[in-house]
Amino acid sequence: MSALPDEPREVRAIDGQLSAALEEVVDVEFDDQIDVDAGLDRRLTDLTAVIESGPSCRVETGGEGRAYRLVGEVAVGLDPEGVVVRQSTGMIYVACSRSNWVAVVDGDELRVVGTIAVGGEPIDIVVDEQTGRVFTADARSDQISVIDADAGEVIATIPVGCYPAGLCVDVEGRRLYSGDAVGSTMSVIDLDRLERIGVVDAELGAGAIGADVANGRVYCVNFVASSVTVVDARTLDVVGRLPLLAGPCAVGVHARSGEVYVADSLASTVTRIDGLRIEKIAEMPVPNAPVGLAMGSRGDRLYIGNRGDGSVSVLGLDGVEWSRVPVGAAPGGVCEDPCRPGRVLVANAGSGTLSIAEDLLEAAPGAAVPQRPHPMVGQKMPPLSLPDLWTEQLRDLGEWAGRKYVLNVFASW
Amino acid sequence: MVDVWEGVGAFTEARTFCKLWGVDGTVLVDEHGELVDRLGVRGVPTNILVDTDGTITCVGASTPRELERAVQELLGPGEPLEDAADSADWHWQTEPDQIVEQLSVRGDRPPSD
Repeated sequence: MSALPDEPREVRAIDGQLSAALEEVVDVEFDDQIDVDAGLDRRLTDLTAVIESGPSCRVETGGEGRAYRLVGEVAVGLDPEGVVVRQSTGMIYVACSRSNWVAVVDGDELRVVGTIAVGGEPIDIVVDEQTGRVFTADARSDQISVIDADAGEVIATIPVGCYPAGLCVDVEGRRLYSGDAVGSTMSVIDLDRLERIGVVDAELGAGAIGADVANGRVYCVNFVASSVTVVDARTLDVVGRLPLLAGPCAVGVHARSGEVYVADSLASTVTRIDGLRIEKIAEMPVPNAPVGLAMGSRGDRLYIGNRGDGSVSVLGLDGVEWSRVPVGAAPGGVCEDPCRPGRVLVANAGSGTLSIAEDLLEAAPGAAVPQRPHPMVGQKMPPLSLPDLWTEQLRDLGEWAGRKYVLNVFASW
Repeated sequence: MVDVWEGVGAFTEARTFCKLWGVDGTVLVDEHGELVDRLGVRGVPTNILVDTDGTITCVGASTPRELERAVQELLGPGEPLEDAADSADWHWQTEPDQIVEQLSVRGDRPPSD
């Protein structure tokens, strides 16, 4: 590698591992902060590919320090899917679906201070600020667990429909909604009596739910049917249905405009909908398999957890990507910390971690995020052996040398 | 196919998944994330296309349409892709019973009605 050049561009290491990895490749010594020539982009991109190993090892060559800041990453449990903050205390609650627990993270110290066992496969999580109760959708137990956040324990369970996969709380209206994916229903729960008071027919894969409190509408997104069921919150009548692109699994409602945004995970788009007219406004492409979605508190942006990309997109309401924040592996649930506006929390299913980042953008930047090819494009497949799923015998990737092939990387969840 | 990031019980989880969805062909298990770390893969699903000399031509291509396009580019103009779909369809959308079955059999829970 050549020596460093005339117009340095700052690259900041996240931790000491990065410096060590760079020293090995570049053969110079680095402090935590190094300057690299923009003209060495390609090589720096190669370095990014080499050292992207482990959740805390990251090179930020784009927005770090300008568009976003990575604050930390905390191990929370297996397959974290949902995250919520209790505003009155600042504590963060993460539903870890394969650990069957909720990890409690101190929002100031950013460390796990406890775990609370809940039912099977908790996927979504919400908080009732009025009572200080946290609710999890325990998909495999067909129930909602009710956690007293002060006591740190489950105080009740509420039976709902089959495989609850999404929750939405209407604190003022004292309602909790559960999308029962296999049952194809939306359950309506009284937040104070802690019992189901209604069932609405949705469609297969009913999961993520968004409530437009001002206009009295509830939107239940159906993952398998690829649609949204629109419900009158007062009468619980279905007032409309809109077909969506493949795999819709997260939803947000803009409090002022009543527009609805849906993450279409299998189409890699976010659909923008006129909620009152029940009409699509736009289908907006995002990086790869958006699974999480949160409305920004400033009302001008969305946060999208891109499961296929290991990133969170900060998306303008018009679909322009303002920045792309690298987080842990296979991110999903995302929320903005109400105690610290601009702080974004991301549950990373692949790495079992919670990422904490700060969105530094005051408004839309001058240019959209440039689309660059993956750093491994043009590189050679590394030699590696992995066990065969069925025989458990090691197989070398060289077995496919000389042929054209597609390697599909997947997870069963 | 390469299964990754299962956490615990990787072989069991992956086998259940593959049996349910009728996944044939070679499946490898990257239990400790070695391959994804080497390739800089940060999410799922991710498709990696490789040419005859081992050169990676594409990383990503997660939607059916993107994958078809990437495969066609890899094959080149002289080798048209057989049975290319006109629209990007996910086949399981036409087989919802498989979804119900999958969600029911994991964890030894009996199938729901």
